[in-house]
Amino acid sequence: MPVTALCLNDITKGQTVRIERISCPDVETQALRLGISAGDVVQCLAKVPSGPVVIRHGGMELAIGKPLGVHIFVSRV
Amino acid sequence: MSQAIPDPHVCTPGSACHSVQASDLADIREVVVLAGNPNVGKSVVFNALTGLYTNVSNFPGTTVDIPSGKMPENRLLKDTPGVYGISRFSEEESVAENAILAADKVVNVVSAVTLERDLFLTQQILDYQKPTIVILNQMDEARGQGVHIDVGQLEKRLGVPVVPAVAVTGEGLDRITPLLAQSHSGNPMPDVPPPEALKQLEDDPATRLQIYGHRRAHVNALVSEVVSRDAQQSGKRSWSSRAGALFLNPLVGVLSGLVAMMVLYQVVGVWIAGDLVGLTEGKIMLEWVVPTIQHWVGLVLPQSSPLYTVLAGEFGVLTMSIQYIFGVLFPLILGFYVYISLLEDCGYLPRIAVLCDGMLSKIGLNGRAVIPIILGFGCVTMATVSTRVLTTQRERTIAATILAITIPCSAQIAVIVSLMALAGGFGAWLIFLGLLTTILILLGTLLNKLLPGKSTGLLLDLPPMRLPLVKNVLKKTWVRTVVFLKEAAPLFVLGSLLVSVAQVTGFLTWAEHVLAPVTVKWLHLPAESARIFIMGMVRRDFGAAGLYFLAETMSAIQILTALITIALFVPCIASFTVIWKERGVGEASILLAGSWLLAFAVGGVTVRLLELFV
Repeated sequence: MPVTALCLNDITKGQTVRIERISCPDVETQALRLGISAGDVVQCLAKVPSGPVVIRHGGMELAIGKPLGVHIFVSRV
Repeated sequence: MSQAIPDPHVCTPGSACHSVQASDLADIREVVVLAGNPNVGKSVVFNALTGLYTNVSNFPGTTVDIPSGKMPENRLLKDTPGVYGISRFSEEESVAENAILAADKVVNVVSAVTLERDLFLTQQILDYQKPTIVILNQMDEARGQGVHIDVGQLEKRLGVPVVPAVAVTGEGLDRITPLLAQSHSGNPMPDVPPPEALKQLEDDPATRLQIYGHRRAHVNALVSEVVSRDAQQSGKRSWSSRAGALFLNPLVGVLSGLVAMMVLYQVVGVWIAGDLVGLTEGKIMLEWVVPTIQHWVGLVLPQSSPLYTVLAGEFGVLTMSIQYIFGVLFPLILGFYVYISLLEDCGYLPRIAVLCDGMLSKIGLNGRAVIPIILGFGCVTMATVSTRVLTTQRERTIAATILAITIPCSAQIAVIVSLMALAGGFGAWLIFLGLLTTILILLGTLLNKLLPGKSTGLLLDLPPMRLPLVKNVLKKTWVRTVVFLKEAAPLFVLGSLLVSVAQVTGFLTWAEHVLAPVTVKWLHLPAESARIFIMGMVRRDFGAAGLYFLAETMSAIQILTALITIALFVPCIASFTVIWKERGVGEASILLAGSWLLAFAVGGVTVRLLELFV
C-alpha cells in the first residue's frame, strides 16, 4: 500500500520530495527513460496554478503536465 | 544497407556541400546514424560532419525529416529527431527507431550535463549491438556546473569509444571519422537477449517496463561510478537559473507575453509586413519585376489572349505568385522565424509553453501548441506545417482546425486593425476578439470530446535561459524559411494558376454573382462584398484589402460583420493545400466546408444581433 497519497501535482515550489511510485505504466516508462524512478529525490522549481510542475533532477529541468503528475506519487523529505 | 531515397537537403549558400541525389547513393558503402536525446547538440555535430545545416533547435520535435549528408569515405550520415529511447511512442520516435535499427553504425551524442538521462538511450543502442561511438558533448557547460566525468572509466564500462567534445566550437569532432573506421559494438547489459528477441520484449508493454527498469538501474550504477558533482553553493544561483524561475511565474508570463506580442506586432506586423513589404512588393515587385515579366510574356503572347492572362495577368502564374512569394511571404516568414528562433534559443518559449499548458489541455492540446499558434498570426500555412511538433495526430488535427478557422494571419491583421476604428473602436474590438476566442474554445472543446484517443500530457525538458547565439538564430531561421518556401511556393503557384484560369473562364465573375445574394440578404453587406470573400480564398490580404476600399460605403455594423466573417472564413488556397498534404483530403474538405458554414452562420447571426442591440 502507498505510504502517502501525495502526488506530484500537490507539491509546491521549493519542496524536495522522494518519488514513491508511479501508478501508470506509460508514465512510468517515460519517467524511467528520463532517469526518474522510485527512490529518486527531486526538487520542485515551480508549480503553475492548474498547470505543470517543474522539477530538477540529474541536470535536467523537467516540466511535467497535470495529466502525468497525477500518477506520480511522492513523499516529503 | 536498407533505406528509401532520402529527401534532397537544404544547403546554405557558399557551403561546399550538395544535396544527396539518387545517383550518389550508388557509392555509399555504409550508413551512419546520428542519435541522441533532444537538445544535446546532434544537429551541430551533423553540420560539422557534413557541411549541411539541419534544424538547430531547442524545441523538441522540430527536426522534420531525416536529413542525410555525405561523409568522407563514402559514408551516408543521417540525422534523426531527438528521442529519449528506441521506441514508437510518437511519430518522431518511430522515425528515429527505424533509422537507428537499420544503421550500419551509430554516432550517439550525449550531453555531459544530463548523463544520467542520456545514457539510457546509449545503453539501449548497445543492447541492440550496434557499432557505436559516443560523443560526450557540452563538456564546457558541464565544467561550468561543476560536473566531473571519468571518461576512461566510462569507455571501459560502455565498451565503445567516448569522445569528449564541445560541438559548437568543433572541439573533439575531428576524432569521429577515424574512429568510425574501427567502430564496433559495445557492452550490452548482463543477461540481455539478442536484438530480435529484445525487440519483441520491448514492443510488449507487459515486459517492456521490466527491461526499462533494469536498464535504468544499470545506467544509474554506471553514472554513480563515473560522474561526480561539486557541492552546490546555495545562494549563489546564476542569473540564468533565476531568470528561468522568473519566467515560470504566471504574472511575469502574462506581462512578458503582452510585451512580446507588442514587439511582434511592431517589428513584424508594422515594419516588416507594412514598410518592408511595401518596398519589396510595392516597389520592387509591382513597379519593376512584374511589369518586366509582363513585358516579356507580352512579346510572345497577345495581351488580350487567355494564355497571357493566365501567365502574366492580375493573378498570373508568373506574376502574382512571384510577387507574392518573394515580395510578401519571404520577408514576412523570415521575420517571424527570426522572432520565434530568438524566443526559443533564449529559453523563453519553452517556459511560455509550460505556463499555457493548463489552458491548452482544456482544448485537447498541450504546451507545445504555443509554437503553431504564435506562427499562425504570421502565416497560417507556415503554422500548419509546424503542427508537426505535436506528438499525436489527434493534437495536430485540433491545432490545424483552430488555425484554419479562428487564427487570422498577418495579411488580415493589418487590415483588421486599421478598419476597427471605423467599425466602432474599442467596443468593436471586444466583440471581435470575444467572438473569435469563444469559437476557438468551443471548437477545441468539441474536437477534444469527439476525436478518438487521448492527447498527450506535457513532458518537456527546459533548456537553460541563455543569450541566443546570433549565428545559430540566423542559421536556423534561414533553414526554416527556405524549407518552408520550398514546400509552400509550389502551392501558391498552383493557387494563382487556379484563380487566373477561373478569371479567364468567367468562373470568378459567376461565383461573385452567385454569392452576392447571400452577402446581401444574409449578411446585410453590399453586393460588391462577394468579391472580397472569393478573393479571400486566394490571398487573405486581397480579401481584406478589398474590404478596405469598400469600407467607405459601409456602416460600422457592416464593417464589423465583414471583419468577423472574413476572419472565420476558409483558409487561403495555400493553407488548404498544406492541410490536404499534412492532414489528408478528408480533413481538409471538412475544414473547407465547415469554415464556410461557420463563417457565414456567425456573420449572419452577429449582424442581426448588432442591428438589434447597437
